[in-house]
Amino acid sequence: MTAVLEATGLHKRFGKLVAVEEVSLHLAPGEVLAFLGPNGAGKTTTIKMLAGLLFPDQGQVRLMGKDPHRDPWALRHLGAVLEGNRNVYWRMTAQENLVYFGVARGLRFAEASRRAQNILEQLGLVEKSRTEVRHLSRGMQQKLSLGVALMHHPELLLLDEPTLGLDVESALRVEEMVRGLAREGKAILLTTHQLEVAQRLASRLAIIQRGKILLEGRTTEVLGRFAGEHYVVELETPLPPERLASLRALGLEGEGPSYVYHGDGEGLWRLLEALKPWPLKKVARAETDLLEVFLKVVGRA
Amino acid sequence: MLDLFWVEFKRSWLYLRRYPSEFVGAVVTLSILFLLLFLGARFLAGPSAEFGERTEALLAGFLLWTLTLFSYSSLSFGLSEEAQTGTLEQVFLTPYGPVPLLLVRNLAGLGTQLLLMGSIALVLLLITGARLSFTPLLLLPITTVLLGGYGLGFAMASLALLFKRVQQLLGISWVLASFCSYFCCSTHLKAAAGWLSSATLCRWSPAPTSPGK
Repeated sequence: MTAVLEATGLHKRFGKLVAVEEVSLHLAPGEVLAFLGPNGAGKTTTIKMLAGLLFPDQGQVRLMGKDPHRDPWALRHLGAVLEGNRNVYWRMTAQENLVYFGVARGLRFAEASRRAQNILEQLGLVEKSRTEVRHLSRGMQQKLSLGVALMHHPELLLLDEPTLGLDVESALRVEEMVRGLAREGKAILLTTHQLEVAQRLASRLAIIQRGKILLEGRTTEVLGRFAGEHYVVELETPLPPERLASLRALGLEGEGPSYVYHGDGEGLWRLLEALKPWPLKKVARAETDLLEVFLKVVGRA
Repeated sequence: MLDLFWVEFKRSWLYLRRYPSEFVGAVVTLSILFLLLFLGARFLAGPSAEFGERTEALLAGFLLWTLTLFSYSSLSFGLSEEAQTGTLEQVFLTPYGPVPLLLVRNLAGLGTQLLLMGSIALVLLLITGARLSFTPLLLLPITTVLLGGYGLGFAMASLALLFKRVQQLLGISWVLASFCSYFCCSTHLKAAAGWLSSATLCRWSPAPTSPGK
């Protein structure tokens, strides 16, 4: 499948500070890549290089095969909602913002006006179309920012903290929109500190720290890898101390009735054999979450 | 590009229509500034001083200075403001490229700027009783001033992008611009006006001299 975004060997230095070092990212249509990292890790610098807003010292970016640093029309394939930014003009109405940015992204005025109406309907903002943005709620402003990014039908979306500061309902709606956009075939690069959001949305993830990518892979594979060979063994009643002491040698840990087994599948069968005939309630592979993975990766670095 | 010009024009017009207090404020402030300069000069020159047609020259110089300042500071102020409010990146994500977009923005904003200039001129003409004639060929020096102003504006805007806040620098440059503008007005502009006048294309019409003058 043709990559929508292909960034290879990006380097960026500000004076003595190396902000980004040897960062390579790629995104295919329909993929959601969670680009994670602590503050100051180099996420925003990378995003700005991907969007053609910052020249990389080394490396190259290709948006649908075009270099946004040499060919500004490559930006026609990109829509962005940038964190900490208003993204829209507060003195203009929702509809005026959509039309303005639509035309600024290369649409004809009539086409932008039609598209603005569609987007307003899609976002549920028709009633607020003639309201100045400064009078809209935070959630509505965020939805409008997303609408502005979608005006010119971009193939790639850069979403920097799209759900930050939103109430639960608005955040869930934005999440649903992101899922829908991915289903439509948009490639989405998502940066967020809300790891549970990233885990729910992302098909792939990359963790960056001190300008370097420490981990990259499919979300399910990464979570599986970090869960390791751990199993939860839940019994109907706790084991007596003498029985538990003998089973500890086989790798059983914890205080009942729920225990954790550290070891491979073969060892698990040996443990289950030794447990016989004690009544079992549940045996399952232990799951990990993105927060745990993130802390392990960043902490290890 | 025409569509881009249209939305930029609409944007500047909407701002003017929605926030008329800013427009009125600019007219009042700049009119007061001119009157302070004018009355200050009169005070320094003494009660017997007669300005005669110098009032018109002073007024023309002031209007030209104001136009220069607007043309060259609107871009850098605009970009500083956009950087603070967080729309700058979105503006730079245009496939037209930032320079063409900002140039179109400047040209589209020219209408509101000229409206502002016209209002200031009208207020000052009414207050001072001076008269200025305007011929189409005056567009030539005005265009030259605008082009120069926009050129400087782009230079200041790039500084604004590099250093984020250029208000202090702009303040200093305003003083420099006012010095240059008045200096140039007293020499080059008069020469230009004289040339245009001799070509019977343009003339600074002096106010009707009062009896005894």
